[in-house]
Amino acid sequence: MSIERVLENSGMREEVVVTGLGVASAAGVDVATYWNRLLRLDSGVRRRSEGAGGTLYEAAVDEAGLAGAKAEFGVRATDRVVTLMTIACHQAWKDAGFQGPAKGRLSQRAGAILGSGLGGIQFQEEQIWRLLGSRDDRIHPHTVPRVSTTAMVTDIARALDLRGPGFVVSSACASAAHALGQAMRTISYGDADVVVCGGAEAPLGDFSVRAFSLLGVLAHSTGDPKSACKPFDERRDGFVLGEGAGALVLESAHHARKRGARIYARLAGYGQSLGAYHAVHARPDGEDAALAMRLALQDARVAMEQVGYVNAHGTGTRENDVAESRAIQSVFGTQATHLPVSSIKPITGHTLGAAGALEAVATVKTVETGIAPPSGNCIFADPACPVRVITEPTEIPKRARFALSNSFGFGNVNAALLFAEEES
Amino acid sequence: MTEILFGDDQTLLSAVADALGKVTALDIKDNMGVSTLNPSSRLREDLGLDSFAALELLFEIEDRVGIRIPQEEASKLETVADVVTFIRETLAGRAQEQRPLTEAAR
Repeated sequence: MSIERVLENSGMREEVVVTGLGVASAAGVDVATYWNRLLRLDSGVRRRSEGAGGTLYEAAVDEAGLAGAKAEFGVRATDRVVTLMTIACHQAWKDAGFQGPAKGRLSQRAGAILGSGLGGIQFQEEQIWRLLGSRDDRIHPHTVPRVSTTAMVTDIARALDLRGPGFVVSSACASAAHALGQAMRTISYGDADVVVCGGAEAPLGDFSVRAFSLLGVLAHSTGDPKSACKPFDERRDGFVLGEGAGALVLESAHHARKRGARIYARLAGYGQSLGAYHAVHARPDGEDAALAMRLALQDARVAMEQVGYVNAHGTGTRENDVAESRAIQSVFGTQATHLPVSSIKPITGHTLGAAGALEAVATVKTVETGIAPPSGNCIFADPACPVRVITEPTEIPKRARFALSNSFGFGNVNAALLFAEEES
Repeated sequence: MTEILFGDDQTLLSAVADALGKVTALDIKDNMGVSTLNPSSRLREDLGLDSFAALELLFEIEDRVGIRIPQEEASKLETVADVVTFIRETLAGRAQEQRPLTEAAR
């Protein structure tokens, strides 16, 4: 018998709830603005440059919003990925009702589990350029700790005095979803009462943008930047690179109720899988993605009829959206024709290792408010993607307030999270 | 070293303040954006910089004023005024070295 089964049988598995949210995104540097912009399809995508391969777009975090948040939380300048992550974590911590750093027993029982695909690549790029490009041997004296992705965890741990479990998860575009899942397990197994979790990415340096454009996965057609990314639309030609961070405070239900915290939602299920197929191509049948979704439902012991919304990975590449649609069909069968599905990437850009957390925030807001955010730019629905892509904010029936958030990384690394409405 | 600063020292002081603003979250500007950094502030005791943070401060200063601060000199700098004085003297020393060259070129 597995340890998990033993714990379940003995009733020891802790229920995990969401008590705090934070975001730093091209769609806003606070959750209220962010959610409002998702509902209004107010995209943060802008034109970056014109080149031989067409137009390049990006979704960058607004500098004024970032400066305000840095001042509010006393965040010092470090690498951009750490700055974004730290701001989102501070917001989530404050939103969860914690005043200042953790104290006493909470400090020992609180941790940080965060994800990133590329980590401090922007800082690394700058320092390598100094040394090799400008022939300046004075690279930054803190290069080692800053290039290390672990800085995301250690910075917020110091600021909030978090002394429980902490590490970084890296699984490409599934990094943040895996971080949330591992945080959920950490609390379920009783290793912590509170975990600040999420993910961040800062991939808008020339090096990363160039590297991604070489893969042919970036949207490049000319036109309005806000309609550059078109998940599930026939005309789609790729994603828009975005930077950002999302953070959630996950907490044992027992701990949250004891301190009278506001509970947004439950994190009811987590499923993960590998596709073992290709370095960048999606598995065409989508069976690996389907497995992650099925396992999330099984983990929560939820029947598919109870699921009222799927926040898709929905990158807007030719391959992802077809494979993901097949996966949704495989899991939900005939129900897939009316199950609401949307992608927020036309608004936030594809924030890679942060996407799972930014999308988890959107999914949590969906089960909290009962309204699912629309999918942008899906005008000519692709018949090869036979799912119900919603293009307006859509009410989710009370009986189906379970929502899935999908994250699939390059190399076929998959994670699915199932959030549930908190019964009041 | 002197703790009273005049003239160009104010420019150097604001470069130090700027670098300090980048490496710490200290509030060293008033609401008009003018530096309130006190030259007599001690880097370690008053500004709370440990040796790891001080290394970063000096790196940022080097970038801003275009000089190098050798490790053995860095450890002798105790106050903000010490840093400003060190920069002024280094820049003055460099100007001295360059003058004959400039004259020879004429």
